[in-house]
Amino acid sequence: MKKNSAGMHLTDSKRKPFVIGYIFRRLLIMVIMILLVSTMIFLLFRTMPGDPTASMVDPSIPQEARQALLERYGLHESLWTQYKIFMGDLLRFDFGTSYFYNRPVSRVIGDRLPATLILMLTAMLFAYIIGVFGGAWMAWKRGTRLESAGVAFSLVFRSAPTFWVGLMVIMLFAVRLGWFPAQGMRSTGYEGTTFGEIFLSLDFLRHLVLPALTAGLYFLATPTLIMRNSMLEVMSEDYIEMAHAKGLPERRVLYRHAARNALLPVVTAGALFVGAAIGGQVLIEVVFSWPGLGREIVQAVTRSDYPLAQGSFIILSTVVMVMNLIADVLYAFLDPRITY
Amino acid sequence: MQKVKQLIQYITSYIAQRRGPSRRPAGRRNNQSFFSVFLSSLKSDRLALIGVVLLVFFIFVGVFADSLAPHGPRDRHYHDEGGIKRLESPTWDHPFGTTDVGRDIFSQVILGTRTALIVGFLAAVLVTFVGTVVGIVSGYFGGMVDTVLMRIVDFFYAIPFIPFVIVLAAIMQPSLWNVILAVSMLSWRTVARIVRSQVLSISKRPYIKAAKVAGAGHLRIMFRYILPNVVPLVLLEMAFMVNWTIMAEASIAFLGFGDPRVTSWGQILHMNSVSGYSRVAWWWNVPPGVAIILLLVSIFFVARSLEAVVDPRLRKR
Amino acid sequence: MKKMVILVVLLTATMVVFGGGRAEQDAADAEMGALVPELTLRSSLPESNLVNYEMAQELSDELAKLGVTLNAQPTDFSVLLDVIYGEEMDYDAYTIGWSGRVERLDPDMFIYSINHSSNANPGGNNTSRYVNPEFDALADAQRSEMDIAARREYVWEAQRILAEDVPRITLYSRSNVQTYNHERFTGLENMSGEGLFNEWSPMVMEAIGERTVPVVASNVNITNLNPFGARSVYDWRNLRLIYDKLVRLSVDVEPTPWAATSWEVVDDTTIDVTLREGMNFHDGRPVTPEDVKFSYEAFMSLPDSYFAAFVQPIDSVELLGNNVIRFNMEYAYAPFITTTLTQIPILPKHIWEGIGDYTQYYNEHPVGSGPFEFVRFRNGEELVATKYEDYFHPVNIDGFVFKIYASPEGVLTDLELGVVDMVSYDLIPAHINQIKDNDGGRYSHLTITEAPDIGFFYIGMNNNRPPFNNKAFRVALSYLVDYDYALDVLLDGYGSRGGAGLVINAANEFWHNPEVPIHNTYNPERARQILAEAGFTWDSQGRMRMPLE
Repeated sequence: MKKNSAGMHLTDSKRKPFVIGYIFRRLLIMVIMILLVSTMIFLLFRTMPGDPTASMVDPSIPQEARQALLERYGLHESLWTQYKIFMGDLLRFDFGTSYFYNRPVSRVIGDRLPATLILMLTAMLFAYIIGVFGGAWMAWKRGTRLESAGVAFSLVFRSAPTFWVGLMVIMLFAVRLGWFPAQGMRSTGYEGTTFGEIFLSLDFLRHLVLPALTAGLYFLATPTLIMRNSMLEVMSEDYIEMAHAKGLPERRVLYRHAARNALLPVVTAGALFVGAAIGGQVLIEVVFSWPGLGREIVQAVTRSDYPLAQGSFIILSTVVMVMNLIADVLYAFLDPRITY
Repeated sequence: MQKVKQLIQYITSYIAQRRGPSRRPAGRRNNQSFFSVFLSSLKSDRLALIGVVLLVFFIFVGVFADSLAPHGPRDRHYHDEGGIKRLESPTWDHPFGTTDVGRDIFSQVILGTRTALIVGFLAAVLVTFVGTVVGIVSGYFGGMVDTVLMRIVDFFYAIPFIPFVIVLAAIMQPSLWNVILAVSMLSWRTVARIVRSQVLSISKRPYIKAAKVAGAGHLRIMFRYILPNVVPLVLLEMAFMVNWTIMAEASIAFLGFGDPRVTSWGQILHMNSVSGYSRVAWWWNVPPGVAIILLLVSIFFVARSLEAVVDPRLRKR
Repeated sequence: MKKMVILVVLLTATMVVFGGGRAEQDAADAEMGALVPELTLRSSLPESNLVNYEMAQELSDELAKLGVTLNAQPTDFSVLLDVIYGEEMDYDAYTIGWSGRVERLDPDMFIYSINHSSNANPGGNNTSRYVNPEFDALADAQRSEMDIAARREYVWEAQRILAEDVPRITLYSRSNVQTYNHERFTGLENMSGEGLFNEWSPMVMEAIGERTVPVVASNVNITNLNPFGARSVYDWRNLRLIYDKLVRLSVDVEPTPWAATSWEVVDDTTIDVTLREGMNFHDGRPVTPEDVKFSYEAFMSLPDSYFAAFVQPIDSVELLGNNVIRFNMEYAYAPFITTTLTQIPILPKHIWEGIGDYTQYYNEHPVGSGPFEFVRFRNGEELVATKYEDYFHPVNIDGFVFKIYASPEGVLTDLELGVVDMVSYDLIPAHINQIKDNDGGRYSHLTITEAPDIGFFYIGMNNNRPPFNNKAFRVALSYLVDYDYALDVLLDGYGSRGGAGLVINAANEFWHNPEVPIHNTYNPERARQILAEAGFTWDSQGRMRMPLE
């Protein structure tokens, strides 16, 4: 994209002293929210049926052994004591040890989070590039069959369950055509260990294509339709009429004048939408065997692996909150009319 | 998924809220004109027409599912010579073919329609009810009440949707009602926010002030004067909530957290994937998938048209 | 409003009319026995075991025809374990299975552990709560009988009693059907209860193509590389190739001297084992008798390890010099060589002795003395191991990659695409059929192998509770199970038939008693007859009632 990001020229001229206080206040609220979410998730898991030791041990081991396990993980303590320990650890950024992997939760999550974020951001990028241009184009073509087709296209993919589209995409592009790998994040035995080697390699990118495509098609409707509506709104503004009156070429009016101003809500909605969409990654990760946090949370829940499920949930929830915060700040930053 | 609209609403209402009430066209006060405008827009909007036709079709199938479904969802079908009709591609007897143990997929898809509609509408009603009440109360009273309620809304906004539903589904035994409950618990937040910003602009109107001066009670003002104004918006939100819920139910069922004893589209797809025949039996996974798409698309199309009614600016173009 | 009133009136009238008639019937019914209580059958979720789930639903339909309400309730596996092993023992019936791990070829597990009354208390493996003193005597006797022929007599007799008492109904056994790419590798052995990725295949298989490091597919993640924390057979499938054992069970399930060159049963409670000389750990340090003593004692000190049951009978471990290690037992324990010696891994003392709590150690880079050396593990993705050049036994491949998938569907795709060379789990029937059908020649490079499994899946019944405390009811129930549907339809024939009270099936040739008549046919009429003969009756509404006692 060669265009500047939305509305920046508006802000440049009359940027207010940016309110650090506002962000600080929001961050504070966020911390309180994280603590509340953590409390909720802690309590939820404690009401779960099934003893966590059940999935930890072979059924053939004796009852005393299960008792010993309960004690090792502190599960024999009262709820209140467990809660105090849990919150105390949490304040030190310690999510405990996964029952299942016998490994610090932070490390399990640390392994998985990048995979989830990269997949999601790639899909968003894909959806945004196509959506912003497509939406602008649709606004230009308003009232035509092409516009209706565009709307229908984006809504059909918003209506299709991602797991189902994923299965179809695998059948077509991986099994029938053999263009891309269908499963996992890298080829078997791939040697890379550093972040760059793993996430910037051609091998990784090939694995990324299908899951990102599937997620991107689902996301597509957001930027497309918001961009379209926003464009329609902007295009009725006076200065666009002026540009037309001056006899500027259509294309130039569309992209130079209208689009950059119409982008504001699209960008803001983007951050909000990332937050809302991150949970939905679960399905794509399952279908594509993508080693991300979403798949981990499903497994942790089925295994009653409290610490891991709690930790993953809190991290995902934090990502959502950060995205919401970014949306609000972006909005404030981009729209000069907002004052605090 | 209804996020599209939700977000437009959210953003525009946000803008409206910041810019002052004049920018935001309020919903129409009169429901009759609301529907008549909607009906007349059908004539010009082909997508909406398609949507209405499809939706009526699905509702018909859903309501008469029991009579329309030729067989029970678990009945096993046998050949005349005795063998089970295993994994048969579509025939006249079984328009969508059979499963690996000889069950009629056509009947399952029909019964699944009813499940989808029930889940969708029940959850949507629940969500919109709670969301609307919270939104109206919050927007009307403002101040401390507003702050507290909006913080609660913020709290629910911070919860990742699918993981939360999975946790809830795992805590409570798998059942359709729990999916409805789980979806409702998280989705009212959106409605509440949108309704609230709408109410904020409405309560500044002269006639509301007049009503207050005339001594009308809070309840009366809220439900007699404000509610009718947000109804169109709420209806629109409800449409998106129906979609959101149906998708959520399908996703949950696909992941194996649904109730295996209830025939739903997600459950059919789940059984298909569990059975291991997903790549062989296209007749087993294509019909439920297409059914989900068609139902959701039809609701989107209708909602788009509703949206033009709610927001007259969209209509002009 | 008016309509409501009319409705209420109508309803009331109906209830009065029908209720009046019912009163007389109730009087007649009252002379019969108590109603058979409403029952709950905890079954598997369809994704964890489709066959069990289906069979539970079918049984529910069958019992409904007999006037008994049985709610088949699909239950998550960990919840199910919690219910059947829980303190309250609050359950009627359930479906579950025992996997046919190779050490379970020894009859102790399937005779003693799951049927002896001493295990019928909460947490015990006798989750049928079956108690029969006559049976207990036999189960005890086989356990301490060191003479194998005499032991078999006891085991055979025990099977006869189980077939009569029917503490549980075995639904089916699933064969180990697995596949590998025969264009790349040869010489793989499919072992009963273990499949292709057993202890031997990686050592004896040979590469015939360019690829010398096979990719092994798994649909279950590895949880733990710590031998003290490893909790599943999936972890052990890899760990046992990295760590060595004193004895290994051969493909024909004979105990074979391995890291030990020989063993000697000195008396019933004393066993001497001689360690092989010249072995080294992967870090170059020699394997010594101290390492062996350390390993066994470490496991003995942990009551909750995976191997707790195997080391429980050991009283102490002594070093006699000359590489001889003596095991002193608390009591005679016949399965010692086939289960204990073949399971406990030899750990390097120099690495583990400094670690306080073994179970909390992550063991990021396992060092053993087995045929394969650990290279790396990426959680949820793959474990890579390379051939250990210094090993005393020849290994023909250069290593292996254990690749982890989210679903069997993903494995099938990669089998087709040639990414995967062999699987480590039992293929589901649908995938077996697809590979065999070989549509479009897509699977021509794959060979399917099948080995019978000694494990079994069953309907467990709480023998403490009515109506399951009534033997006739259990026997009748075994006639309501459609064994053909399970085996021929749901399993597509890849398995063997279940039967009432069957625990040791024909695949376990030595211990299976072929002379015991096992009823394993679907015959609802016979079931009704058995119930009637035992005094069960049906009341005016067709509900089944318990016999009058």
